[in-house]
Formats: sequence, structure tokens, C-alpha cells
Amino acid sequence: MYWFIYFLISLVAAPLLVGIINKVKAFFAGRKGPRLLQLYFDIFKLLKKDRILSNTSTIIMEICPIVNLTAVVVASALMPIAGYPSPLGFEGDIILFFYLFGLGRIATIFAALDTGSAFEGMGASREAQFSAIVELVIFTIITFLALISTGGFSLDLLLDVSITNTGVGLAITPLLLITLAFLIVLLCENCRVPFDDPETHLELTMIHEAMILDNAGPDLAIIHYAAALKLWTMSGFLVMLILPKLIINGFVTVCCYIIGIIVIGAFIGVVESILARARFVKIPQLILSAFTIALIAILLHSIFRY
Amino acid sequence: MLITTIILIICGVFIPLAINKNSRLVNMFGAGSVITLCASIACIMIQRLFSEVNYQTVTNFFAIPIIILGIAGAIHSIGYLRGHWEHKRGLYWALYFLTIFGMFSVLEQFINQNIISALLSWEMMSLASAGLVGFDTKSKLSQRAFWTYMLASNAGAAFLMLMFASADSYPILCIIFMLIGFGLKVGFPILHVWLPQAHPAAPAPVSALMSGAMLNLGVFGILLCGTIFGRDHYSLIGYILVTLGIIGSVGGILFALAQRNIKTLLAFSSIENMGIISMALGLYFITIGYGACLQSCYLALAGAIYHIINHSILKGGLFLSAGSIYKQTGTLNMEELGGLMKRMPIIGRCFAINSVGICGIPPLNGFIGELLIYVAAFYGVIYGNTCIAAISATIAIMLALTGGLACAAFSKCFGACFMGEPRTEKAEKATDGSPFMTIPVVVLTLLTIPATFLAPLIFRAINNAFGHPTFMGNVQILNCAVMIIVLLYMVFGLFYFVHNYILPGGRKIRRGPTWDCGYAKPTARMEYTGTAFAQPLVDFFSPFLRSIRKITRVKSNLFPKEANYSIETKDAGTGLFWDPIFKCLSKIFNKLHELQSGSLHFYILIMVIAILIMLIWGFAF
Repeated sequence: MYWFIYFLISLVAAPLLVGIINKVKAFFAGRKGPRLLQLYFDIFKLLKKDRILSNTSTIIMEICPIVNLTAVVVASALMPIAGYPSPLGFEGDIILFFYLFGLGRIATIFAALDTGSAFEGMGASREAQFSAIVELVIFTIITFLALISTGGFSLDLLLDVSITNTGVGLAITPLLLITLAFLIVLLCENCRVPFDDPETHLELTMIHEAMILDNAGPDLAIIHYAAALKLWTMSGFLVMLILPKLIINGFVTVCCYIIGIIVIGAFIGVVESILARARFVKIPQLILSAFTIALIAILLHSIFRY
Repeated sequence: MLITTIILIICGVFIPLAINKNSRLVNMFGAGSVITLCASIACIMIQRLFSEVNYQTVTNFFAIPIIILGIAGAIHSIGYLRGHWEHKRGLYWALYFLTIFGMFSVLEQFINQNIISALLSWEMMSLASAGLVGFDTKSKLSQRAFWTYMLASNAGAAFLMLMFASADSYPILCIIFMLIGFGLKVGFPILHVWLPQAHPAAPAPVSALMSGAMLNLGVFGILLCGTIFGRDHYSLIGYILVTLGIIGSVGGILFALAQRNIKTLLAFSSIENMGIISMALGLYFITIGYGACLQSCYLALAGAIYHIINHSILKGGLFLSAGSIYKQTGTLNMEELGGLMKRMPIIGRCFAINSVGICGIPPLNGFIGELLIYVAAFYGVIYGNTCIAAISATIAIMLALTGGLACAAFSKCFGACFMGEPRTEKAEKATDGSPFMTIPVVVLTLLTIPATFLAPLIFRAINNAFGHPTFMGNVQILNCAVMIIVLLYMVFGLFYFVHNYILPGGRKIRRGPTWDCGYAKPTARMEYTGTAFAQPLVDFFSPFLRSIRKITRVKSNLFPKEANYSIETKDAGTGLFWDPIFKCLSKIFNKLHELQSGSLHFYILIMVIAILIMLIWGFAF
């Protein structure tokens, strides 16, 4: 029941997170910034508009935004919250969880290539490159979670007990390192600074935005919403990773998690305000450094355990 | 039984050869007898499922791909042969029949342990398929591929003989011979050289058959012969398989990414998939070697077998689609294609579905196989001892990297061939082609549906065939995964309905040109090419790939003139390993050639020396 409430909240509140990030960025820049609910207005406005498709495009372009949305929604339905596993969860759902994001990504890449635009091809190419390497980091993180797991391989078992398993004190360092690695993954997967600048206006420097140049109206609304929901879900994953198991009261738990997600949103805002977008050639190095961090975490954990 | 077989061989081999002239009759006899053969084998398989002796049911999982791809390839061939090789059709059908016949008898003879007939049928399969690889006698590429393939398969057969010869006395040597002998068929790294040459050269139905069904037979051989050696050697086999699998999968997909030719790309992707399968098999061997972590062990084997079936269906569909593209446009170079989705809607949709499937992305069957392998690997991490955990973790991480790179490679292939506008005139006139060519592709694509939704059943069947217990927890995983895939389809249907029928509220979709930063009329020349798409990754992995770049600029004064840029990635196995060896060998033999000087005195001297050596040998020992 609490899980269901949380799921509904996350479906509704997901665009809010983007608003929070933008508010924080505006605060750092000394601007007033867009309203907190700006993305809701944008989505609502776009939904009312006509659908425009390119002459070149085919059925791929028509269905891919919906495939993307479906994948992200189902993935977010797999996320548990502390003590309340998702009714869809099963052993190994963590693989499905990340592969569903993969489905959304390949749908976006196909749609981008469908238009035959040079910029969209460029964006798709970059996305394909970075996501291939990010996959490496994600599964290293899952390996770490499996190592500290006490038996059982479902999202809720892996995430829920993470801090209780490593213990406190020095033994917590590997978990902190893993959190850092996942934070880098989160920034990359959701196209935030320093991997991609969501606010850039130059097509040549875009990744995600370049891939959706030819989407308009309801399609664009769907893509914006899916991106926001993905950010929310992955932030939820990060919160689960660092927060200890809370079995107090269902309502309090849900509140704690939502507050955690908001804090992460604010943190992303701070990161975006103080960092510049990295050069494209540097990005693989950044992702590989996350991979190294995750590997070090695994090694440290092995050392502490034995 | 014998009489039926003889009649089938006469209909499948001799009659097509005899009535070469009448193309319709040849097709009828050739395709008819292939389909009859496959259907009768299918009947035998079903009969076996209900019989008492069920050790033979293991062959079912390897026979299914042969049956499916044999029939699909036979029907596709009818369309493919139209306008090609008019005078040689009888030969084509005879060789095609013999290849399939050889593959079935390999399965049958190996499982019944008739070593001599097993080797004979192995050789028949290799020779018949070699004939098909070199079928295009006018093309130099095809002839080179023929020689490489002949060398590889004959060397493989030789190593298999050595394996049987050394089986009793030298187990370690025997294992190495086995891995080389079967590995030459599977396409392990370094031994894979024939794959990227033979697949582009062979006719598409033959490539589909070879990639989807014949490579599996190598895995079958390793699985069957590997279990003979006993516990002590399982771990050794396992470690070798995992190492080869990791190199093969990551290396294979990286080289696939850098290719321009669709069929070369698919061939490298086959190497990748065989790598994934051998990783899973390796995990199976290691875990039974330690006798620990049995959940992981059974899951790994089931994952490997499941992946074999998935790979056959998906890769078969992809190769047949590539055949349709070749037939329509006359080229396999991705950079000359583009915009085929509008011109070949059926093939395009099937290609999209198959390429998503082969990347292991849900909701298609490729995901189920990879899920099994992942869960096996992570169970190894959770429950295994330090050694198993380390190996499993490596497998899981490498599988993930492979998956990510496969997405890039297949989005490159699909994007460059089917999306955007046609880049050349060849691509502009393409159509779906004759129903003989589209129907097999569609059927293969539709087969992904039962391969996805019957996952729990297939999993049970695999466990039963190998005599492994089926854990309820593992079936539960598949049940849940299938359920979520159903949910995925339902949610998609709902969103699609809302998006297309409720949201627009009667407004029509507007069409416009692609927005290309202010260009009013973007052309195909502005599109991102496949090479450009893959360039960042190819650059990133350039130390491994060693691509050769060529830039030709015409010297110009003020305004730049047309320039050319091309990049080619050649197979590292050939360039770095085999070529130097063969060059060295040919140098030695050239030196030896000097012995044949033509002077009589010299020959007599050699003979005298030889006789002297023999005399000394005789007295000394």
C-alpha cells in the first residue's frame, strides 16, 4: 500500500525534481529562475500542440517516444522503498531495471537516427558511446551490492540492507565510494553537467537535446516527462543506497525518501552551478574513473571482510 | 528408415544435380527435400521427448536451430537464387541438402558416440558448407574465404582426430585438442578468422545457417566431450572457456562496431554471441568442477543453451534480411544504403526487432537468455567461494560491456541501412522483394514471441534434458520476468492508444522537413554515416582495433576541394597472428624450394645423405 502511494507520488512529482535543480541553479547564478512547476506547464502546453513529424521519419519515430516512456515507467514501478518491496519485484529484477533504461535509450537512439539529421546522428553517436561504457560501471556497482548482500538478489534486498550489511566505521568507506560511483552514473545517464548540459543552445555540444531536435508537441512532452521520471527513479536508487533501513512508520519512510531525493536534486543543482561541461574526449575518462572507484570499493570491501 | 533416407538423399542431391536446367523443378525438389528432411527430424525429436531413454533430448536444443534455419533458409534461397547462378542451381541445392544432412548426422553420431561416423559427418558438413561459401567462383573474395574456411575446418577435423587419439592417455593434451578442434567451428578468438571472411562471401541463407546453426555444433561438441573428462579437469576447461569467452565477446563486438559491410558486422556479432555462450559454459564447468554453488551452475548452463536458441532465431533473421538487402540493392556496404525502412517496410521492421533482440534488450527473447546468465553470475558472486565470485563478477561486468557495445553496433547497422534518406541510387529503388524472401524473415521474427513467453517451459525442458533439478526459485525468476514483459506490452498499448487516439483530439499529424539547423532542404549527404556514428567508440578503442585511416586531399589554393576519408578495420586475428605465421612458413618453404634446383648431382647427394641417416638410425636404435 505504502509502496503504491510512493509510486503514485513519484509519477506525479517527478517533474518537480527538475524544477528544484533549476531553482538551485538560478539561486547560484543570482537569477530568479523559472518557476518550480515550470516543467508541468511546459508538458501541459506541449500536450495541447499538434504533432509534427519529419518527412524522412518512419514508424520508428512515431512509436519510440512511447517505448521510452513505457520502459521508464515500468522501471520505476520496479523500485522498492525501504521495507516495502515493489509488487513486481523478483530475484534479478535489478538487471531488468537497468536494461529497461537500456530499452528507453536504444529507442531514443533509433528515433534520432530516423530523422536523418546530422545533429541527431551526432547526439545518438555520443549517447551510444557513453552509455556503452556506463554499462560497465553500473554492473560493477551491482556486483558490489551482490557481494554485500546476505543472500537474495532482488532490488529490495540488495538496496534495503546495504548500510546494515557493511557495518559502520571504517567498513562503510566502500559503500561511500560506490555511492560516489553511482552519482557519476546518475549524472551521465540523465545527461547532466559535466556530461551534457541540458541548457545548451548549440546543437554541436548537445547529447540528449540533440537527439530530440525533431520531436515536437506531445512527443516532446513525453520525452521530457520520461527524462524527469528517470532522474527521479535513479535518484531514488541513490537514496536507497545511502539511507539505512527505516522501519518506523510507512508515512515517515516515504517522507524520508522524498526528502532524500529532493536533497539529491539540490546537490545536482549545486554540481551544475559550480562545474562546467567536460570536453567530449574527457567524458569516457570520467566514466572510467567511476569504474575504477567502484572497483576500488569492491577491493576494499574484500579486504575489510577477510 | 534407411529407405526413407536413401530416397531423401536421391531427391535432395542427385535429382537437383540431374535436372539442373529446369529452374522451377530444381527449386521444388531442392527446397522440398530440405523441408522434408527437417520435418522428419522434427518428428523424431518430438517422438524422443516421450520416449524412456532421454539422454538424446540434449540434441533437441541443437537440432531446433537447424530445423528452423534449414527451412527458413530453403525458402529464402528460392528468392535469393532468382537471377543468380542460373546454371548452378542443382549444385547449390545438393550442397545445401548435404550441409543440413551433415549437421543432423553430426548431432546423432556424437550423441551415440560413433566416433568414426561422427568425424565423417563432421567432415561432410564442413565440405558441403565450404562448397557453398565458395559458390561464387568469379569473386576473388569468395575464393579467399573458401580457402580460409577449408583450412580452418580441415584443421579442426584434424584436431578432433588427435583428440580422439589422445583421449585415453593424455587428458590435458586431449582437452587442448578438443578446444582447438571445436573452437575452430565455434569461432573462439584467434581461431575465428574464417568467420568474418566466410559470412560475407556465402549466400545469405547459407550465412544464416552457418552462423545460427553450425557454430552451435562446436558448442555442442565441447559440452558433450567436456563432460567426459571428469571432475579434475572441469575447472581447467572452465577457466579456458571463460577467458576465451571474455576476449571473444568484447573483442567480437568491438570489431563488429567498426565494420562497414553488414554481413561482416553480423559475423563479428556471431563471434560475440558465441563468446557470451562460452562464458556461460565456462561458469558451468567451473562451478561443477568445484562442486559448489549449484544454482549458479544449472542457471549458467540453461542460460547458455537458451542463448544458443535465441541467437539462432535472431541472427538467422538478421542474415536473411541482409540477404534481402543485397538482393535489392546489390551492395552490403552500409554507407551506400539508407532510407530502406520506407522502401522495405517489412524487412525493416523485422530487422529493427531482431537487432533490439540480439542486444539482449527487453522485451525480446535475447533478454531472457542474458538474464539467466546474469543471475547465474550474480548467484556465483553471492553464494560462491572467492574464486567463483571473482570469475562470476568478471563475467557479469564483461557481459554488461558487451551489451552496451552491441547496442551501439546494432544501432549503427540499423540506422545506417534503414534510417534517413537513401545515400545512393541503388538504395532508392529497393523494395521488399518476393514473398519467398520476406516470409522466412517474418516467421523468424515472430518466433521471438514464443521464445520469450515460453521461457519457463523452455527452462524446464533444458534442465530435464541435462538431468538437472529445476529449482522453483529459478522458474519464479522467469515467470516474473515474462509477467513484467507482458506488463510492458500492456503499458505500451495503453500509452500508444492514448497518444494516438485520445490526445490528438481529432487533430492530424503534420509533416515537415527534418530540422537541420536552418538548412531548408537537408540531403542524404548531410546525414550521419555509420562510420561517423561509430567513430567515437572506434577511436576510444583504437589501441585494440588498429583501424587504418586514409585521407586523400586534392591540393587546392583558396577554396578546399573535395576530400576523401575512409577508415577500415581489419580482423586482428588475421593481421596480427595468422599472417605473420603463414608468411614465416612460406619463407621457410621458399628456402626449401631451393633444394629443387634441377641439378642431378644435388639430388643424388640428398639421397645419399638420407640413406646415411637411415642407416645410422637403424644401427643406433
